[in-house]
Amino acid sequence: MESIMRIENLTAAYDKKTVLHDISLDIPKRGITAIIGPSGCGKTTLLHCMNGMLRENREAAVSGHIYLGDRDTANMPPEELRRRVGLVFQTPSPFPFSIYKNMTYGLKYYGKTGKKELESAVIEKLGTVGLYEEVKEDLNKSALKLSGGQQQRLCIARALTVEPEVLMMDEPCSALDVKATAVIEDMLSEMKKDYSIVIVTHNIAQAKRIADEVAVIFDGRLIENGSAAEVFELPKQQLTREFLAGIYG
Amino acid sequence: MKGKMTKLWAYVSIALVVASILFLFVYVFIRGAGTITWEFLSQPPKGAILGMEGGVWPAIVGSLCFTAVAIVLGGIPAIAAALYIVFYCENRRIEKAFHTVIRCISGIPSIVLGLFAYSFLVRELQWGRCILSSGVALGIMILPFVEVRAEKAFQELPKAIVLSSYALGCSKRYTIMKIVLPACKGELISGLMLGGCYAMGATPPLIFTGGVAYASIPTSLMKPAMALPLHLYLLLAQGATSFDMAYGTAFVMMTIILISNLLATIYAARSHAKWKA
Amino acid sequence: MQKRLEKLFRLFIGLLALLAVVSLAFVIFFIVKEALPLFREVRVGEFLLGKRWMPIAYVGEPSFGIFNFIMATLYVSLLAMIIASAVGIGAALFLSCVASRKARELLYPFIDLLAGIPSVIYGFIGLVVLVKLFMKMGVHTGSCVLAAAILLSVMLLPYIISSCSETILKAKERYLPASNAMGIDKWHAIASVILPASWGNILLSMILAIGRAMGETMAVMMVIGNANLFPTLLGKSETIAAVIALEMGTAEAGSLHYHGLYAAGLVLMVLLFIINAVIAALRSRLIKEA
Repeated sequence: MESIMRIENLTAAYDKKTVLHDISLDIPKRGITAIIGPSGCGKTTLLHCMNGMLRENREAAVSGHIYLGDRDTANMPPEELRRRVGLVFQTPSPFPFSIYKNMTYGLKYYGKTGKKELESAVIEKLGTVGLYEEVKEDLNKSALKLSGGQQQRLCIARALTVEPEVLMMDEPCSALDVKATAVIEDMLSEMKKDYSIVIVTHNIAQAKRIADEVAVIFDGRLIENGSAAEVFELPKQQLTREFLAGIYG
Repeated sequence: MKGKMTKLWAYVSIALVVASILFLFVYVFIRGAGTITWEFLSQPPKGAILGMEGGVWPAIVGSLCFTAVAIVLGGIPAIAAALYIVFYCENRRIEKAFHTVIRCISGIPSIVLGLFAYSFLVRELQWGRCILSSGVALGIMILPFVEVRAEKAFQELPKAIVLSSYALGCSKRYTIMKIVLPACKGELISGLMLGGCYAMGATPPLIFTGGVAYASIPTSLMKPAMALPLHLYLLLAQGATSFDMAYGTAFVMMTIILISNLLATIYAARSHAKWKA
Repeated sequence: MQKRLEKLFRLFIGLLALLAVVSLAFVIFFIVKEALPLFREVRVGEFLLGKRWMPIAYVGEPSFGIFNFIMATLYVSLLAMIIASAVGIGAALFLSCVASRKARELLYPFIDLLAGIPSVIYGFIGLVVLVKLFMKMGVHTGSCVLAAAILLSVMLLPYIISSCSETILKAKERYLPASNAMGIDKWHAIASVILPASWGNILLSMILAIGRAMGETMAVMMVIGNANLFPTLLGKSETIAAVIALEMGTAEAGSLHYHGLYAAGLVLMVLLFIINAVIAALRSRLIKEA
């Protein structure tokens, strides 16, 4: 299996408190990798390491290597790394402008200004997340007026506009209701044909429904990883079994 | 017993506060309203004791000039400092040092700022007594006032929005220009306006740096000008025989400040509401 | 391209931010520079503790002693703070424990109006109302320290009220439900739990208020009588800020009188820096305790 990102011996600490211990993990090209584990285990920190977001945090110290393709991301300017590895946050975070301006925000930054070019990109990406049919009449409406689920899909579409090679999502459904969650899960299952997706979740059922690969993190350590079938059906570690059985929250 | 006393204390206090506010405003507005005529608003001061006849027009224009200069000179560095602290400063110590500096500036009495402007700008740089000299002193005076408000607005912006922009690979500059400043526009503009009100009411920094008893409408920033608060003070200090003109001047000043205050509050509330929706 | 823009922007913001630091340095530098010549002629102890302020001597030696001005500044500020706290904390109790959310949102901006009134207008009203009142009550000419303190206390009210009611509101949300559940009367709980729990922060805002009061010039100067006397409740006195404002116009630039006024300004500034330092120390201790 071809991998797109490779994490080697990653250790991260805030203020001398180590939150990630020596993690090594491959992210396969195309498909969904779910990172699961109890809350507070370091999943979010891992994502923030992977796209250089942790560099914004003054107290954080990181060692180890993360490769994107065959380049070490440590030598990449943060802007380039973040463009190539997109990140969607837990709470929907649309910018306080219209839907259209949300979508063109990143494109304009990268110097795309042609009206036609922008429009086609907006339509394509909104289509990918299944939002275009719902909002095509009012692209100039404020993004803040959309429902929570729509906002989150808009944020995913917005992340896609800059053509990332990997799309990471941090608990994208935890702020949403069941119905909106189902819509997003369907959409992700559709998207995985073309995109390499990493999703962090503490919702085991969700990981079972959509993941191809699973990594289990416990207290900052990677305790098990492999294909979804392996991890869910035949977990090797005692901790994994306990976690899947719902012993840890 | 202890409870009852506390209750009484609370009720008496709030009554006192409300009564004093009402008294202040009603008093100035009732006493001042009679003096307000078109002539008072549009004429320069006249009379044997200057200001006993005529009006306050040059003082109104002068005050607006002082205020505008203060907003530009104090407001821009204040907003920049807030941006720097919130978005660029990577070192806790530097951030702390910045906050200490800002707090120290806010602790400098305005009369001392006047002394500074006189020594440095009026004498050392030989700008002489002029609007600009006073404007610098007023600008330093309102800098911490605006900075605190700007920093609060930036901090209150949802973190996820700023991080989302970074996550798209956009630079801080782009994020600040396209998201942070537009989203905080209401708070920033109202902060600047309130800072302006504060500057407009201040007398001590003007006394020996650029405010004068009589001047025509200012034509250049390098000339001295009249100002409403100074005019009011001088009217009283000259031992005027009647307070009518003083009441009128106070009325004009209170009205300008009250209206700007109101506009700033409404503007901030409206843009804030829009943002939350 | 984006990279260079980012660098430029960062530099621009950094330089503008630095302007704040530079302006503080310049203010301190120029005040000290203009104050120093005085201390070549007059000893610091004499300046701070001397009671005779005679910058231009018509007979005998000129004399520079600002003890009375310092005491007046402290006295009037302390008194104003006490009056403002007595009323302000009470009003804050009302706002945080009695007023509904809606009433609070209405009253806050209303009280904030006080902060918007220029100090010269306070002075004016003090002159035509308070001073006249004191005169009727038998105080000679009516101008006195108490009048200045009352006037100042009204000016301090909005600051004390807003910070105290914020503190008390937090304490109320934290402790009142538990106390209610025990069936204790609300006002008893306020007096014996909520208020004591808020004392630290209230003290902080009281010190902050003293600082504000000390730098105030116009309002005080217009009602305090401006005579170089040791402050008493109903007597005249003169604050440091008032001396500077009144005499700067007549002091010949470069004269000892002129430098003396800068030295007085320096003393005022140092007093305020000390208060700032006390507040910073208190605040960090409060944060540690919380």
